[in-house]
Amino acid sequence: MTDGTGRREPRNVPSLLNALRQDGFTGAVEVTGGAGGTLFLRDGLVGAVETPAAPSARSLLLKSGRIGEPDWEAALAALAETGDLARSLTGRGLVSAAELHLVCTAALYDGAFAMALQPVTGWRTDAGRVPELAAWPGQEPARLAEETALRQRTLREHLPSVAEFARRPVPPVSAAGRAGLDRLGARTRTVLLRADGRRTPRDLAFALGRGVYPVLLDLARAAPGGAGRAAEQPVPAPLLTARAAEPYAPAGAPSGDRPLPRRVPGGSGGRPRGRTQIPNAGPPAPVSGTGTGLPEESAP
Amino acid sequence: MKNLWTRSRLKEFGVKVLCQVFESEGVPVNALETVLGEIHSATGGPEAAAASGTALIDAATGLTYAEAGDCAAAGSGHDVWRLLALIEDGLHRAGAEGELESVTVTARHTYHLVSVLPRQGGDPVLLSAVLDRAHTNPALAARQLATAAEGLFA
Repeated sequence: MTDGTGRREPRNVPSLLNALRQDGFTGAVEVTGGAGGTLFLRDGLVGAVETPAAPSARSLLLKSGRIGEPDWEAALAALAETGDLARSLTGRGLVSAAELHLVCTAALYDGAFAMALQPVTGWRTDAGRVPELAAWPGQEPARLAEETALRQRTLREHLPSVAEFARRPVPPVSAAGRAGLDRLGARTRTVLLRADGRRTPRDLAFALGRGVYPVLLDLARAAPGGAGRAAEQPVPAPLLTARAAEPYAPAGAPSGDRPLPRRVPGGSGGRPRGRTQIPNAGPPAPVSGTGTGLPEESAP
Repeated sequence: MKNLWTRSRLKEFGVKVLCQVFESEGVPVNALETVLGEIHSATGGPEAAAASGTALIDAATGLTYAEAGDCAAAGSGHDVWRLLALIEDGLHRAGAEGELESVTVTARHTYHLVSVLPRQGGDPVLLSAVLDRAHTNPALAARQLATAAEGLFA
């Protein structure tokens, strides 16, 4: 992005969006890295996010069965008269303006969340592009970043690494787990029953016509250790038994070559890069602990 | 009170909102917030509920789609989602069948009504309303909200 005002170049996507909000930018922001994606802005407000990482509003409407393929094709064919897909859809009574706005808003936040799970390598703005469907007047970039961060925090209550969980295929429900499925809601049950050991949470979201975040959340809450662990453990094992089952290690003996984390006076505030407190813990995941909600990597 | 928010009226209103969105260039109207505002005012009235705040929240994620009035007493959309998820999980673990339909929280000064609105082919939506307890018949208010919301996704 060219900046003739002499301001500092934005260092990540949230600060770029904040700057564009101040400028009242209208157009597209194409983000590269991972699956990439495009954010569509009007007066700096985000009205749509299109990314291969998450189902678009079109996918949500079609794959969920909300609108049938023939009706969709007919609406597309009528584009020449109306000049606008949203107007075609609502004008034919396929979906109300209120529901369309809701679906587009859901797709927008889900797209931003899915893009934030992957590292960003760069971006460029394009004032000419328009989205297929959008929820205008659009969302404040600050609220988008806040909601994305909240979603990551919520998932981290159940999962050690959100990005890792999102990449992995979802194992099918075991025979023992099937017995516990009755103790889950219908929505969660549907997701779990579509898992086949090959599909990732993203694939499941596309197959079901649901967002990536709601699918991840349902899976995380149903996973062993999650809040809804009823599927795998109908009767939770008593805590004391679980602890006693761990191998006993004498206090004096070193348990491995990795030392235990040790607090040092002033250590918590004095580290130049305070992302992790555990030695040898490896590089941080692209999304963990940023707190900004959207990817942190700088533009080239 | 005569309930004006029949299905046909909401449909008619939807068309009006649509026209506003596409015809007033440069000043787009958020269709959802406008409809919610009308649902919110539909629950007002001397012998019914004086709604102090109404919100539409995603039942699967807690994302707030639209708000009308003062919703602070109900907490954020995420708070409402957490409350319902907790109750739903507990009910399912206890062996309850079917899906949760609504929750009413009674506090000293307010009622907080949350209805789960199913949506064809999509995750449900929560209609959350905070009502002044002194001027509200909760049963009547719940019914009015349900009627007003009926046509939202028609």
